[in-house]
Amino acid sequence: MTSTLLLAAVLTINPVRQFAVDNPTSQRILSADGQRLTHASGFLADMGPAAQRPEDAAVAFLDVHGAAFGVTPRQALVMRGAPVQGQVGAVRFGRTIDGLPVFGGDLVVGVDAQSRVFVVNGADVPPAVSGRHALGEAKARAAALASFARPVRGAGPATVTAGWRALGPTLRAVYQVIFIARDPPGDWRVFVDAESGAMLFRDDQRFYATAQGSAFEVSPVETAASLCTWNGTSRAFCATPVTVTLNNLATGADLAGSMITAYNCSGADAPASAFTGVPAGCASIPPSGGTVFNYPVDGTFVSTTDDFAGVMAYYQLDKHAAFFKSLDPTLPPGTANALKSSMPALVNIQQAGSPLENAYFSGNLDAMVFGQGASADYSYDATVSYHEFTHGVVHAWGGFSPAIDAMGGLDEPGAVNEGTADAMAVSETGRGELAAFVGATSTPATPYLRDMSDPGASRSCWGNGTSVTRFGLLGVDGLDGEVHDDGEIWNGFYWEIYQGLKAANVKACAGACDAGPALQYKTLQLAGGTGPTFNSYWQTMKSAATALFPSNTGVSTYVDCVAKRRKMDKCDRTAPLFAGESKVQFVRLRFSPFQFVVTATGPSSFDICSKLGTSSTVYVRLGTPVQLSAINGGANPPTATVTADAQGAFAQACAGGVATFYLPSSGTWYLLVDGGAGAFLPNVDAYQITLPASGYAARPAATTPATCTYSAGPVLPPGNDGGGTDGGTDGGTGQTPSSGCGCGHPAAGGGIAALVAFAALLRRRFRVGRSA
Amino acid sequence: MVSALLLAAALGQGAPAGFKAAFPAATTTESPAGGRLVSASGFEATGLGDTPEAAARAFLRRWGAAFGVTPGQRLVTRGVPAAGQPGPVRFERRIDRRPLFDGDVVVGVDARNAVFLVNGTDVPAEVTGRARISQRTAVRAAKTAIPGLVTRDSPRAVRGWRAVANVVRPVWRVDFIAVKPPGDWRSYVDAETGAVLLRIDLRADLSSGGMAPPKLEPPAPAGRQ
Repeated sequence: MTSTLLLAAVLTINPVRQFAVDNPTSQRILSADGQRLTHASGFLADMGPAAQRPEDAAVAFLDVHGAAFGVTPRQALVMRGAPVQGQVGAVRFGRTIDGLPVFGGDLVVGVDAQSRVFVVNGADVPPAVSGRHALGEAKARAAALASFARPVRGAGPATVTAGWRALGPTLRAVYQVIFIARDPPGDWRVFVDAESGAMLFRDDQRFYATAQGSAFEVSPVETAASLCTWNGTSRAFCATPVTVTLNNLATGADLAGSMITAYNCSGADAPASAFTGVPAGCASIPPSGGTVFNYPVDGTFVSTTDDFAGVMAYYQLDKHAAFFKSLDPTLPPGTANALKSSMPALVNIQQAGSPLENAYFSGNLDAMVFGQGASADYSYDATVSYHEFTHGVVHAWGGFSPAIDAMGGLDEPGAVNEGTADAMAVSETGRGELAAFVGATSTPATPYLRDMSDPGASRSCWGNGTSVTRFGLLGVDGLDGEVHDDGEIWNGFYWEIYQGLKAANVKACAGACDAGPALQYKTLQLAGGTGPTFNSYWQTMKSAATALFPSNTGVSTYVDCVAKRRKMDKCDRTAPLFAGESKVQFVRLRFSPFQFVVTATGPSSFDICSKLGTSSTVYVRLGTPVQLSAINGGANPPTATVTADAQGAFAQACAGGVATFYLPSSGTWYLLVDGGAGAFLPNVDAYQITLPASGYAARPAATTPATCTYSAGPVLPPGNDGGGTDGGTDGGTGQTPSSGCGCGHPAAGGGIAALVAFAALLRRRFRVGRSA
Repeated sequence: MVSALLLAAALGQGAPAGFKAAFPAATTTESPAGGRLVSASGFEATGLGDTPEAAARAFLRRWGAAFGVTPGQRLVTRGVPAAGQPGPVRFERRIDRRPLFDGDVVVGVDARNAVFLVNGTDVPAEVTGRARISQRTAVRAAKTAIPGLVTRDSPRAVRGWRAVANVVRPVWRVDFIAVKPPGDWRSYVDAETGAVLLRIDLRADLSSGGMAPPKLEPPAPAGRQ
């Protein structure tokens, strides 16, 4: 029984309110944007003697109240089924527009034995319609097949249907493409944008299994509710495994699912090359018995064979994938696994037969590797899993690319990547501590591996002069060039945003998710495929706030205020150093990741050394940053063409003393280190530069930090008070965010005169010239 | 979906000064060498197209030069947001039909297809060098540049271009997994000289720093792999 009816929808000012007035006892569920109903029950509507048949009653009801459920004059309702008269049952309607189906837009009207309407269920179908069917079925099929990470094999014939599908606030012209494939295995349904060919949504119609399993809510030292007690020297192991539901399993015969596939590698090394299927040395993880995965926890945390590790990894990673999709269902472009295909997770991995004290996302394997360490199994900590999966998501959105550019080594994309991974991890637990279990099992124990609220996470790029020890060397805080360390500058900034918006109960996803992680994820998307710096990344977050919250300027204003309070706008890949201070810099891309800036008050010396005594060159330039213009020749590493006022070679290990160089004149000098092969991955080194107590500008006095408070209205920015979260100072280099290089200082242009004076003052073997 | 467009950007049109004049409220980040922008935000360009991609392409036709997009570059679409959703339109740059590695341009488009953001990497205008070495030579160069290398992987090499310092060079991008030193090594080998210009590790780990600083050890001695 199929009939078509064009509804003469009654135009009402507020159909949802009208429905509520007409049915005051009803229970109602609104659409995400609050404009339509997706469910109503708890009412009884008798549509009169003319509507004795169930379908007549349903049509009469929708004629009156259809607009409340998103039925528009442009939609036609096609009845798909109805119960016989006198039976309780469902009258189901499909919707069409211009004769084409609205996929997933069915409306179900429940009627009782007297044909009275008592319930309505429907998907949210927004009224705005966009796009046209320009692509054609053949191209739609090709686009659907091309949307998979790897070539689709064994695909059967595809059924292509033009129609419409709700995507966010609009109904979009799409093609639905359905086919069965052997690899990746599934009954695939792909929705392709009918204009652009972009894959908008993909799911597997094959039934996915769920199973019960045993896992920690977070880790042995953390429950969903809280961290276990830290007594100053150790943390209690207060958590016990709980019964969890493992979702999205393909069959339930092992831990292979639509998002994650976990393998137990039983102490093997990580795969030495890309793999398909089960990686060598690893095995699928079957149920512990029947259909459940209740493996015993390894209470020693050092077993190289426990299957509990695989259950823990599967559960937490699948959960984090769902978390991302709840923030934004848009799939990343390209062919990477994260959020689109099943990403392998390898547990109980060692390295050359020894414990592996780490976990990582591998870009070559497009998989996650969890080390079995000497005292901790890294898969036992959910925050570690969340962190690594986020690296996979960054990879899927194009990655954040390090580089060597005119300023030297550009490693801030790596720091931003680490900070983002931390941010998304703590967003899921709602607590700022990362990897508390790894810390608890360390010797000596630490309360966590990183904390979004600790001093390291509240520092600015330039620091405030606080002394810290890095790589065994003493120096002032701020950037140090190591990506996890510098990532804390981002994760601390994010955490303040997250907490501020959460405290104000600001929601995204039409009220369904917290604003902070939605903002962070959108920022990630908008920077993927580029090389974001701290300065560009926070500005991207501010723009993302404007785009996600177009009617609430308070969010972007708050992001701006917090960023400036933390001096993110001063992050320009330089770090000032003042009289009597030392600073440490980690180098792995051969060249300094940031240039030191010193203001000499006259001819002055500085000391430099490195942890490993790598043969290196320091370049100095007056008034403007040292510029790297080319890398030439066939040597390894090749010769660098550098624009500088002078240079000097050294190979002094800090344990044995320092190399001393002289600056010939007053002014603002920029210093760049070329560590050559010794500081070029896989080799790394750490440099320490020390200024004497006189001959240089002193660090300016600290200023009072500004405060930022979210409000839906405008938030006053910190202005030019120089305040910072660390109570520190700008350092006096005076660069503007847009310059990126600090060019144009008053002393610029004095290079030649300085060069002559400099040469006369050289104590060590300096080669003088403008290029190397 | 892959589509390409040869940009007809006139030299000088849309240069940074012009962009800033047209969008005075925009916050911009200039390339370290100057003369190009690598990011811009805090502006809105409306009425450029009916779809996110159309709007983004129209924007770059007008202002791409300010972001280092030259007439010699083709832009290939790598991703678009769903209609009505704010998100990124990502373009890969190509020169002579080969990819410019790590040189993507991302244009942020809001729910009304207004452009509100550009993110990119610094791609200098100067392109130098000719590809002369073979894939095999490039792989050998990438491997011999790592002292003490032990690998059982079959390296993957793709030819393209890459910005290094202040020029764009022809390169081979060589990827392989190594057992020793452990890592997912990605090397950019100059396709003219065979020099390794840049090497990164595609492993993103939990901690090589933070509370547990990386172990600094002297470089391994040169040896055969």
